[in-house]
Amino acid sequence: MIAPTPRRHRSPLHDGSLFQPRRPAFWVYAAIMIATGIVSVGQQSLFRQISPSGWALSWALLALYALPVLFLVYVLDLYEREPLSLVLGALLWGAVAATTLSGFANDGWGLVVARVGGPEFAARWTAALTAPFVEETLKGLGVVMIYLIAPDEFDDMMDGFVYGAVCGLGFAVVEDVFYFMGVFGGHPNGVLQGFFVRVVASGLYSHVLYSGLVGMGIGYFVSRRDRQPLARRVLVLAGLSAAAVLGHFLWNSPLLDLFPSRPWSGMDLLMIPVATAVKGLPLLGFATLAVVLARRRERRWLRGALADEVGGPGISADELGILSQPRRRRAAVAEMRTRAGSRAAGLLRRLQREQVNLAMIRSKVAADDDPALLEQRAYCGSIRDALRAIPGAAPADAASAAADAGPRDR
Amino acid sequence: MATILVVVLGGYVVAAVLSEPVGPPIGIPGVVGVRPLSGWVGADTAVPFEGAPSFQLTRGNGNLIVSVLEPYRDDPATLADAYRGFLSNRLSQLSVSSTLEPIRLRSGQVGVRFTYIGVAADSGTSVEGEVTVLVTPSGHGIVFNGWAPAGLLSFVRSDVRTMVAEAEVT
Repeated sequence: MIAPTPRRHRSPLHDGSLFQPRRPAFWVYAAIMIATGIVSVGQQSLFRQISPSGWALSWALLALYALPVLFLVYVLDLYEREPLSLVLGALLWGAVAATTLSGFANDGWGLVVARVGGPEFAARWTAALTAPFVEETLKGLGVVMIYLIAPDEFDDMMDGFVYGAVCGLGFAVVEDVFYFMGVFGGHPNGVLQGFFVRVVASGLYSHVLYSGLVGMGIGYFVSRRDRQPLARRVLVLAGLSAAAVLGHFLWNSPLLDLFPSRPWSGMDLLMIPVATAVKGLPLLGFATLAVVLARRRERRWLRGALADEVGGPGISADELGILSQPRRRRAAVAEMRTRAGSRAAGLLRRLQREQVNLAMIRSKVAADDDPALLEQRAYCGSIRDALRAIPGAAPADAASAAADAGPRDR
Repeated sequence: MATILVVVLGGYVVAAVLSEPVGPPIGIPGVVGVRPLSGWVGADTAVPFEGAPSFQLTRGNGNLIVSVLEPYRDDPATLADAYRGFLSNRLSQLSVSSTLEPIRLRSGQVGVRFTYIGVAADSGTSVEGEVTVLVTPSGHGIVFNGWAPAGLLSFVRSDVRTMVAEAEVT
């Protein structure tokens, strides 16, 4: 007899969605999005009227850039994919609210720079002295907003990185459209030139990195409240935010500026990627290191959280070995699909996801017999039972015999 | 919300605080006076408009030239047209905004404004400017020309507009 597939359930420790009408932050988010959205739509409409073909080409080219980056950022979080509505919420905040508010704010602080430094100084330094502080703050507030709407989705630094980077991606796309239309002329040739400069030559170093770092700091600050003292959390948040602001400042400043002046000839086009690399590579290296360290930390956390669960109904030692290595996870699912079909592969993927949830619940509850923990263990066990009942699926699962022996006395 | 307000509006507030006039008005007594904002000083006028009495304020590469035609009987649009002609003699490749924007000074005087960009015939430098023109009830035609090398006007425009808006016109 084939065991019935366990009914899907949502962990009680997760909010899961952007739409949280009971949380005031959701309504603040919605109000700001509506207000700034009106301005943003008006601006795009103006661009479309100026050059319909250039505007359409801008969005088409940027979709080619944004979709793979979005996917890459989304899958960077090893163990828990963030709810899509929240990811889209962060993307829209960056694209609509942060860009619109930054436009006003940059103008205002630009006046201050011009007032204090004079026109020549302002012409050279306004972009460096306003945008990094203004834009990183406003994009970071998007991550804070997502946190206030769904606090339980922030389990680690990587969650913050995902929301921050996606917020930065939204910002970068709309800002690029603005540059293609307003600075590079808006006609198709200008748009292609803009795409080369701002995406091909610079796309690796842009807002995705800056906001990813800020988001990582926010993720650390909010997810480590029980484990790290306030001073250390503030230090990490300030340090990562400062790195992002510094990288953005260097990018916008006249320092280390090897950018060729217009009009560009053949050699200049080769020089542009060199010029952007000089300014962008240090921060890219720093961000890559931060992500690698965060992922290692995440792996250690998973192993630590599930150590006491191994051999119980929730997870076996072999399952943990596979679970903690994303490549082995994917290989196990693929192998299950070959051996027992798509339904079995889907169930195995679900088992793995719920085992990650088990780790999260384990790390958040104090008692070993907390009802949420007991429920999650039983749920993982029921998925495993359903999986083994599928013809052909059992052999791959044989190694988890320890789990078969029955639940330990907890 | 407080952070958003501070970030978005803070610059305007700080800039307004920093934009306080310093020193006594510079100008033509009994007709027009401009109180320079901090950083702006009086300077010699290069070429006056139709030989009219003029004075100039400057800050780095930012400039504000004020010229007074007396008596002047036509309307501001006609005076603006005459000033365009003056500019076309001084600048090559002159491009002027197609419309006249109506403006009102703090004193209640109304006028019109247009913008231009061109290349200075003597130096070959690209310049851009914003001209505000008004005609007073007492029969003075006043032209405020705020200008800077191309690309720099945006960094002095706010100062120029503040000084023009608060000009003491008799």
